[in-house]
Parts: sequence; C-alpha cells; structure tokens
Amino acid sequence: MIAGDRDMSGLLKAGVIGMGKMGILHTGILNSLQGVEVKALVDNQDAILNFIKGAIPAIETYKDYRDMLNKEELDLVYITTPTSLHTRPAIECVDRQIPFFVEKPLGVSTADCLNLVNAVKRNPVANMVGYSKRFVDTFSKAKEIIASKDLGNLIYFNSSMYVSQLFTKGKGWRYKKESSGGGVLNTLAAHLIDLLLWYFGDISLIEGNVKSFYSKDVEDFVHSYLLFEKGFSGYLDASWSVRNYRLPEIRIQVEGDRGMLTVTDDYLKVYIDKEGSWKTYYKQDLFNGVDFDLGGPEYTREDKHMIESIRAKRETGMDVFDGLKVQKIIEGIYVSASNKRAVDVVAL
Amino acid sequence: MSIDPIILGHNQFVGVDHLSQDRARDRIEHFSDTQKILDVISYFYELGGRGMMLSTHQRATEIMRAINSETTLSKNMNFYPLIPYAQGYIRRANEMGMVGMLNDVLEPASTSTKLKILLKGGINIMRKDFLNILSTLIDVELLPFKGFNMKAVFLHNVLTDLALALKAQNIFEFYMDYIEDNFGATPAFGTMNFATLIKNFEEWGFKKPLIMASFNKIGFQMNPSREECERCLKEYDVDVLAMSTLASGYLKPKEAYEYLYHLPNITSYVVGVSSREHADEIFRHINNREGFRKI
Repeated sequence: MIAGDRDMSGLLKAGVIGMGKMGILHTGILNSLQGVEVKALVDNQDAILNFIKGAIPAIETYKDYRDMLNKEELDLVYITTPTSLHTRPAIECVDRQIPFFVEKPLGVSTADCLNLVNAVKRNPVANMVGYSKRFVDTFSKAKEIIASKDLGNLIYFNSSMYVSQLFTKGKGWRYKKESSGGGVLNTLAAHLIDLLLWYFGDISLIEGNVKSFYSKDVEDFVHSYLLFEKGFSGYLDASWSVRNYRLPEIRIQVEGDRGMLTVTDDYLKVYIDKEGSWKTYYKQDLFNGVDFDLGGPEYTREDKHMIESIRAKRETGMDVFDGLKVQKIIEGIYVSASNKRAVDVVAL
Repeated sequence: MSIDPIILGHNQFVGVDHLSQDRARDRIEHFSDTQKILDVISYFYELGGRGMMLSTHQRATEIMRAINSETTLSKNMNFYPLIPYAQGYIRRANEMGMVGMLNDVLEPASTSTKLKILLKGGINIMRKDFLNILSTLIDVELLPFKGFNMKAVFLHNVLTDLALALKAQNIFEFYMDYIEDNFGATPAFGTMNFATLIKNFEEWGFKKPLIMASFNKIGFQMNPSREECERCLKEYDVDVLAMSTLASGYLKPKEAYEYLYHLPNITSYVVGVSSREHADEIFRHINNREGFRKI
C-alpha cells in the first residue's frame, strides 16, 4: 500500500520529460488511455520542442523540467530522458509526492540510483521502472511456467540479447558512458538482467567480460557468468553489433531436472520429461488485444499497470528497488571485467 | 479510385516476420539476391496479381530498379508505397539521436530547392515549419517510386497510430491533401487500432477512408478485440485492405480466407508470397471464392 492522500480517481494529468522515441511513445499511449491526459512535455532541444508544438499545439512545452513541475499540477510524471538524467527529476517527484515512471535502466551507476532509492525510502511515493519485457506475452508465460515448478529443480541457463544497431562509431548520448552509464549492457541488456532476476531471484556471484570494437567509450559485447543465490547458474551474452538482428531479440534457455524451456520475443517452447513432448506457444497463441497499440501491446500494458497501480494506491511490483537490483548486477559485470575476477554481489 | 484486390506484400523480402525472427533470417539470406525477389514478383504477375506494396526500406530503391528492368512489370504493376520505414528511423535515432536522424533522413533531398530553402534557416526552421518538414519527408520517402503507377500511398501504422493517439486531426488532413494534390494517389492509412481510427475519422468527417488493418480468424493484432473490429467493419463506410490475414503464417490459407469471406467492406488483401507453391496456394483459394472479384 502506498501512502498519500492525493485523489487519483478522476482525470489523471501527466507530464513527460525527454522527447526521444520512448518519450513520444509513452506520450501517445498515455494520451490514448481513458482517464489520462498528457498536459505538458519537456525537452532541452528547441528543434524537438518546435516539432512537437507544430504537431500537437494543445500540449504545453518546457525546456526545464523544474518549470513544468512548478507550473503544472500533475498527477503523474514519466521520465524518458537519457539515462544520466533519470534520477534528478525522479527525486524532485519524490519531494513533491508525484507518482513517477522512469524508463530503464534506472541510472548510470548504483551510486546514482541510491540517491533516488534513499529518497523513496524516506518519503514513499508510487513509482515504476520501465522493464517492459515483463509485459511481453511470451516472457510472462515463461514466468508462470518457471514459478509452477513444472521444470523441477533448475540446473542451468543460457541467455542472449542481440540487435544489429551499431557498425560505425555511434553518435549521441547512448555511446558516452557519462550519459548512458555503459554500452549494450546498461542501455539494452538491462532488460535481460531484469527478466533473469524476475525469473530466478537474487544473484550472488558475477563474472564478466566486455569488449569494445565500434565504440570508444562503451562496450559493444558482453559475456557474463551469473550464479543465483539458489545455486542455479548460467550465462548471459549480449551485443548490439551482430548482424541480421533487425529487432532487439532476447533468448533464454532454462534446464531443470524435470524439463526445459526456451523463450524468445516470438515464442516459448516447453519440454516436460514425463510428458515426453514439446509444447510451443507462439505469440499468436498468447495474443490478447489492448485498448490502443502503439509500438507493441507490452507498452500499453505497462502504462496501464502504472495507471491502475496509482489509482488503487498499490505498489507497482517493479519499482526503484528492483531497478537498483538490476543496476548492481550491471555494475558487478563491469567491475569483474576490469578487475578480471569474480565479484561477490554483497560487496557491491 | 479502386485498388487492386490482391496486393503482394513486402515483409518476406526485407526480413520482417511476425511469427519468427529465425524464419526472417532465413528469408533475408534467400532474398539477398534481388533476382529471387524479381522472380516472385514475375510469378505473382503471371497469376494475375497487379498490385505490390513496398515500404521504403533501404532495399526499396534496388528492388524498384530491378522491376524497372522488366518493362511488363514496370508498366503494368501498381505500386502501393508504405511510408516511412519506421524501424529504419528508430535505428537511426538510436545511432545518431533525433536531430541527427532527421538530418540524415532529409539528406537525399538535399538537391531539392525546397529543402535548400528550409536548411538555409538551419534546424531552427522547424520552429515555424513543421508541415513543410513533413512534406519534404514524404517527398524523400517517395523518391524510389518516381515514374511508376502509384494508386494509393499508405502511412505506416506507427505514424497513423501516433497521430491518432495525439488526436492530431490536422496531420491527417495535411497528409490527405498532400498525397492527393502532389501524387494524384489515394491517401491511405495503416493501423493497429482499426476500431479507434474509424470512429475518429467518422467524427472528423473523413468520407470512406482506405485503411489497411489486421483481420484474421484468431484476432491477432486486432485491437481492442476481434469482435470490436468486426463490429466497426460492419457499421462504418470504409474500404479495408486486410493485412495479417494468415496471422503472419500462423493460419493455413483455407481457414484464413473462409473467415475473411464472411466479412463486409474488405476490398483487398495483402498477401505475403515467398515461393511459387505459396503463390499457387493463395491464388487457388482466392479465385475459388464465389462472389469475390476474381482477378
């Protein structure tokens, strides 16, 4: 239960900070949902703001998020800035007791995230971190099967996340460690780490390797061994510089003593020893329509989850504390890679 | 203007597959040879198909060039561009940021007088001239189709749905006027939200729009539900080009088309053909249907 006496039953007025592609996407989805209206947007680039003003004259625009927070009476704030600019506006929201949503990953380092986590501890307010893969049908069905114990005791996993994105030196904030917190691992494979933590619980030991080839400042390739507290272990591999992955693609294979499963964005295959046959669920099998689809049904479900949670004054179940856990694993991989030895998560 | 009843889709040629990325990779490998794409288009033409949809993927220019080398195809086929190739924009925005992406996208038009005037004012021009930028983007996207028959130009579902979410009636009106006035083609819209779109179009007074939306037996990509999309299809005056008719290869053609034949207002289908056998099968089912416009 989230404290707070704010009335969340009427029309919810939302503000969005950062108008990159995720800012645009959430603005569209929020505006399409019943009972929600996007009142104001923030971006620090004139070109972007003017483009938006041309397209949607009814929405107020600001260059500084503090001006928006001072002038508008908002019930909800979405933070979709470059990663290094996530925690400061989030802390402002905590201070003003405005529920907030932050895109993934939570921050550029655990120290960065801790400032926000401590603020929320002192002064709780509803919040959510945008690990949208939890709302993809195949991944949520896999969670159900793993939790059901149908696979028996878990023994081993391997996992990957690939996309064909970078084959030259990248431009923009994603490729500067200072603003992104890291390369493919922090920017993209944070999704995969969140899924692994969601599926298997906490991690105790990490070994990591990273490699830069196209980027100067951040890693393009990551390989990591992860040991979970339950004794189960496996591998993670990620890159944004592999060919033939038009879209970002996650794949997780889990072996248990009674069966196994493979899950991707497209399908889930399950093999249970005693049944002796494969069961395949395509996303077509699992599909359910959403109120409004913009960029994939998972984003609509994610935003509805946020709205429903704050209306019911319920915790989102994927908040800054979960965001911090992901960040610790990412930092563990970077530390292990630079020290060339295993890292105990408790020490982070 | 009526559009072709069967329109050849492009996803299989450019590695888009909503059933499996593994299958998409196999197809990319197969169709990396443009001649193989041309073979499929020629066979589709032999069977009587006359319409082809093509997104402005980086291979569009190359595919259109290949078609241009076959006079029968280039003269007699009708093309239905789908603009813009959204994933390309997203990838470029990821690589070089939003402003960098816009500059990069507009680069092919750098010789056009209109853009020279625009860029003279630098990026600041966007301040005043949102619609001018939009028109230049459309011009750039349609460059590969210059000189070919274009019956309708479809706005990609990501942009249609974004404008719809923002209730930006002005953008829809601008797009419709611009396509009609400058290309003599029917302005048309892809969407993942058929029911919401048609209700808004009615409210805004847009008469009998041409919409491309998913219609299939299992309700895949039909939002908010199959039932609501079917209800709106019956209730509103609209021309629909049905896509995802096989739910991305999940359904067999027989069951898929049996479902579609019972729906009103569906004037055309997009079909994804990747081999001769596949084309034969689809045309057999479609041509067998009584009462449907045979081709």
